[in-house]
Amino acid sequence: MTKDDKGLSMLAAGIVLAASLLGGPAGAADLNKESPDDWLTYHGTYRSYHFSPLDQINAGNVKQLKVAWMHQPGRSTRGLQSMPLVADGTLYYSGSYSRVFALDGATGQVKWTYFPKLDDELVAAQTHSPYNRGIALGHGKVFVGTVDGRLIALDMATGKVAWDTKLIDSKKLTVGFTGAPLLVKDKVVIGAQGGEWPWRGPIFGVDANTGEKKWEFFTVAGTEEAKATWGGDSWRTGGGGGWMPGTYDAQTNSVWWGTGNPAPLYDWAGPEWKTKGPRPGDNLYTTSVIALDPDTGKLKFYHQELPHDAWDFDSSVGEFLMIERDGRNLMVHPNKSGFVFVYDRGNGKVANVWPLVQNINFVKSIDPKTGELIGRRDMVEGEHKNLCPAIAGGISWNSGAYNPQTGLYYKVGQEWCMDLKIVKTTPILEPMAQLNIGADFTFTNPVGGKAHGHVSARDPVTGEKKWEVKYDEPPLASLLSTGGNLVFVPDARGVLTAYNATTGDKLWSHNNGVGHNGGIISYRAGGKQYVAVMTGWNSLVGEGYGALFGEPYKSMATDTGTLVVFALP
Amino acid sequence: MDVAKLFATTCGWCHEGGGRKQGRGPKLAGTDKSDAFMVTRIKQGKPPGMPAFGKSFNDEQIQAIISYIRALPDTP
Repeated sequence: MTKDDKGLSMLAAGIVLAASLLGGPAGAADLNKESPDDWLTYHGTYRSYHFSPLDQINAGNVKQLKVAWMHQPGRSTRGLQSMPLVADGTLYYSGSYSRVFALDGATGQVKWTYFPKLDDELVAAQTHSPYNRGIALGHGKVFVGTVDGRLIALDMATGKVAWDTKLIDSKKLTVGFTGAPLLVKDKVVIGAQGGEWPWRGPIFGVDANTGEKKWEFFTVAGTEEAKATWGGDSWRTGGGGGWMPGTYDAQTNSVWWGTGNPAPLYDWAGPEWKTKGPRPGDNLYTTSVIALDPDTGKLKFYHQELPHDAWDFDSSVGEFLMIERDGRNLMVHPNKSGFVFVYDRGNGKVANVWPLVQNINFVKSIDPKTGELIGRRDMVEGEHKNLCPAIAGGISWNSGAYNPQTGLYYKVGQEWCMDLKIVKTTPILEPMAQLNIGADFTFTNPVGGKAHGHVSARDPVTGEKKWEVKYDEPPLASLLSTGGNLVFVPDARGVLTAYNATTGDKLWSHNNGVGHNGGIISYRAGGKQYVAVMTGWNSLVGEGYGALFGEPYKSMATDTGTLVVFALP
Repeated sequence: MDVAKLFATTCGWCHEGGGRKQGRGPKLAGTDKSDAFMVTRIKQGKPPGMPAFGKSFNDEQIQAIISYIRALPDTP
């Protein structure tokens, strides 16, 4: 155990908090109790460690791990990209088209299924679709967003619809919800897609019991202060969004959320971006970490990680690790750029910034004391070579894992670059909104090497590296660490590998037959520990692997995905 | 209409290098597909990657995109 944490006691506190929020009778299940056996929210607990304290499966016996059962959801267009959740022995998960399944956690036997009726014509016109990245549990309900702009609550025991609330006019805006909601007290918080989509990317607070919308926070020009950071009317089409779930810090009653990038992605203003170009100014609150009051939706504090993001390196990664160090309460948040930001949890002030990847040249550095960007690479109209990282980022949206026993943070890094030609574009809003990219681009290898990925184990506050495993292609799935001194890495080729969390030694692997692009958890049902992983391929990043890496990606199935669950014999 | 601008707004995200290289979507330069095929593909899309643009782009815009693709130099 390290000085980082008070270890499992703190984790257990997080679990108690999460469990208490599930509240009241939940059909047949009583969720109002402490249970490290469960996985109750996207990031595991509000502390967001993607860590299970269970140790029945451990470094000494993981070699015996076998498939216990599987579930085939069907119609897994673009693979399963979600995070399963477990409460009282029942496993809940979502698949493409926001289909939801409730299964017996020990046997995989189906308890109920829910297939929402979606606007098929709209879905066919969407680019960021039809995948779904997760659900939330609580108040006896399962909450799921849809790509046609709805948030739906299902009865946990039966799968029957409790309420179905339309939050976004997706027919006009083209986008909806793909990310998991976050339950905070009596509110369900969910962020809309945004980024390159010319709108204002709101985050919503919805009454968990009734489905009534209680608040809406615009990540683009959500306050008068923010509106003043957008030249002219550019705020009307500014992008933003918050498409991955953040977390909740009960100590300050704050929802921490990462926001999307501004539109267009690439900006021809160059160094004159403060006064010229398609979106002059800092463009608040895009590419920012924001803290909202869950009761009102009011902004409490924020830090814009990349003022006037001109590279599509947004802050939408949903990980917010709560770490205690030397008497300070810290929040660790990875940014797509490949930098990891460390904040004071009380006020959002920058405590440190460290790079996870090597190939970074969009800035020379970021001041670790202030977060100020040093040596920005602001580009003008025309051709530019070797921008690093590439548009897919040094860090993607899936989550790493933190193990309070080793004190190490396990995280995937991506090493790749690109050439681009910046073009002066104009937003297309009618008859329905279109992407606003602002460039043609081509992925390239980093100078002197090949595009690749790595999983490293680091101090989450300083970034000091303990060990690293190289991958020929970056894994694009979430990681899991456990009390059995294990780290599980589901990779892009389809191999799930268990490493010794302390040393990085490879201990076990299993080929699931298709790439991983979603979540992985551990839980206990009927006294037995399980590891559940999503399979299935073709997220928006993975879609480019065929061109970049060739086989097996060129011929990898993009319409399949399976929930695979492992246990000891 | 500036079709190169339109391409960089919406299409170039998947069809890399302005359609000259394979990316998320296929390389378009030098395609052996017919105009009729491309009109249908642009209008109706092809899940999971290619959205249906039939309600977004009019016939004139789609014809301009096809002319743009036909004019792309087919270099490796």
